[in-house]
Amino acid sequence: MQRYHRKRHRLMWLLLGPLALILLIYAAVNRPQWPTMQASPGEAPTQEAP
Amino acid sequence: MPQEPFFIGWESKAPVSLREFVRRATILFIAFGATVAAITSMTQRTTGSGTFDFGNVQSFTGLLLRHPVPLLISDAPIGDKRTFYLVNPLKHGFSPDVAAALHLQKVTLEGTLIQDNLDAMIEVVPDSVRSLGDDGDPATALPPSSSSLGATTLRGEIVDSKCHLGVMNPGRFKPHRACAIRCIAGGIPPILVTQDSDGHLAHYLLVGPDGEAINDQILDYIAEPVTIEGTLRRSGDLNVFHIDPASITRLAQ
Amino acid sequence: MSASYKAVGWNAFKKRHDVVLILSVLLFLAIFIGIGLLRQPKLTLEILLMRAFAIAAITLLHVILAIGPLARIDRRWLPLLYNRRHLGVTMFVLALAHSVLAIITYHTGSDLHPILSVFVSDAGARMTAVPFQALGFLALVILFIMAATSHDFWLTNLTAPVWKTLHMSVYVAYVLLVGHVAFGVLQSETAALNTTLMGAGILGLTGLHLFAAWSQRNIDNDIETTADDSEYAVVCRVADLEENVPLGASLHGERLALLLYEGNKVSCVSGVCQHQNGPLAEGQFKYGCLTCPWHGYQYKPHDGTSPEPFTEKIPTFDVKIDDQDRVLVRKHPNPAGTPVEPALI
Repeated sequence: MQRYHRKRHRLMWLLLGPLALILLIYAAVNRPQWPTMQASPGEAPTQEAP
Repeated sequence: MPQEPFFIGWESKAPVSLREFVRRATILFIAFGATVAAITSMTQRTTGSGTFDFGNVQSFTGLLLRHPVPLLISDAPIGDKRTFYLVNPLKHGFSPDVAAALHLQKVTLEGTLIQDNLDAMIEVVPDSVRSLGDDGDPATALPPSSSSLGATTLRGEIVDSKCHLGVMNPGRFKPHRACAIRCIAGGIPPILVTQDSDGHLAHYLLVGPDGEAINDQILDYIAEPVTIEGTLRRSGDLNVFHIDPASITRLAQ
Repeated sequence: MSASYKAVGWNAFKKRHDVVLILSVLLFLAIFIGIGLLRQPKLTLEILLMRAFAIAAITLLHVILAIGPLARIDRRWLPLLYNRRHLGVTMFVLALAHSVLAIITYHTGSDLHPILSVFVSDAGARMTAVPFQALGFLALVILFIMAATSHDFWLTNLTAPVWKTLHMSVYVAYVLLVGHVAFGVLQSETAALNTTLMGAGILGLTGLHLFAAWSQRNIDNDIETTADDSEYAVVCRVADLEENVPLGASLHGERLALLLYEGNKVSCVSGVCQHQNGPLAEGQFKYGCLTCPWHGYQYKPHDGTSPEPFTEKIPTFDVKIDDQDRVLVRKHPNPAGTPVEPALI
């Protein structure tokens, strides 16, 4: 492998590795929070949760 | 000094120690893959209770309604379910023309059953809906009673009823969002899914203040946590939530 | 090694390799699908399959990306590097199967063209509307281009440096795929193990690459000493040469390989294999030729040509030995295939 390839690989992983990790963590931390609420009046009795 | 074992791809046999190394490396990779397969398959947990009786076309008879969405009030309930949503194949709602033409008539049709723990639906074979005329038991010719339960605020997720009730399982959340949007845009009835702290779900059919379809106005709010104000009505088996789409608000993170 | 283009230059190693590869992929799919069918019986079959193909593909991608740095750290991994392109094509096929299933399941049968739907249905600027499907599609395009150009035909016609640059886009595909997974399925399948596995993959690959780079950092230090005759550079002492063991050096960023052979002959050729620019100085002298450690391409040391019937050739360098027993190499290379009288010690 030529030297310029190795330099590019180094750069890739100094940039892309952290970038990928940041994307992963950001997406995990910013997931939407799903609300819960007590049953409303008059609806059918709910059955087993999935 | 003897050189280290050298691999030449086009030779039929590599040096023995290299072969051993490659064998161990291969086993390592395979074991790694098997572990990943097992773990990621076991952690799957968003499956719902919906089922799709694909390939099993049955006949249904009952009263056809066009409001609030095309429905069949079946002569033969399945379990405690008597009210069936009607939809067409793929990502299309039931034909509004057919619904208008056969509203309040006794009909027979062919279709495939879709149901979960709460609700049921029929994917209708197009052109299979036939009116049976006006004879029949007057009692079942009347639409089910509808009662108002007052104004309320609900919080949950808007999904398309067809996928969620069983054609796609899971039919909720982000991976399904694009499909839900296309289905609702195609006329599939939108429902609000709520859940309580034990994970039990409830469904609310979403319609406009006067019961009109609001599919196109809610596309932006599908598969996200939302809060909606509206009026709750009970219509036969169904919870029907009459809303002004402008009142839909996304819940803050 | 081909004088003409064959579809695949099958040999026993490649056949064994590919059989093991196919069986391993089938095993992965069987485990994932089997467990899914047992534990999630209501999970829609297309979705289970879609997930199986996807996770198989991305797991294989991690294996593929690990092989390069592993081979730098320990030469015993080189046999796996030899057939890496077969892994790549297999991974693309798995990714394609996933994509086709996803597009058919989620995007067909609607009011929009399916491909258009992939890009516009679920698109917006907020967290819940990140168009993860588009990220996946772009990654698939990159993987397709790589699979389609994986044959040596393209390597030759695009030239090795261009081909290699094109294939570096696998790293772009990798980041796109992390985004596709993180903003897609991980938004609903939120088990901590899933994110942890993905994170471990990223960290593992990053660590491997950086460690390989660090451990190899001195290889390409340039020769600094110019000889009295300024056309020549001093590479090493005669005593540094070991018979039949190539010695590598770097001249103005270009690699060369010096060889002592047949008892007293010293020749110098380019250290860059003509095939894929592999490191010839890290190869071995076999069958009278300097042999590349990547795919076994061979060159005669005195003129840089491949043995009959092969036609590859590499540049050669004039060599002389001065009265201080130092090996001097002429800085300017000769055209590929130029014979040079070996220096004698």
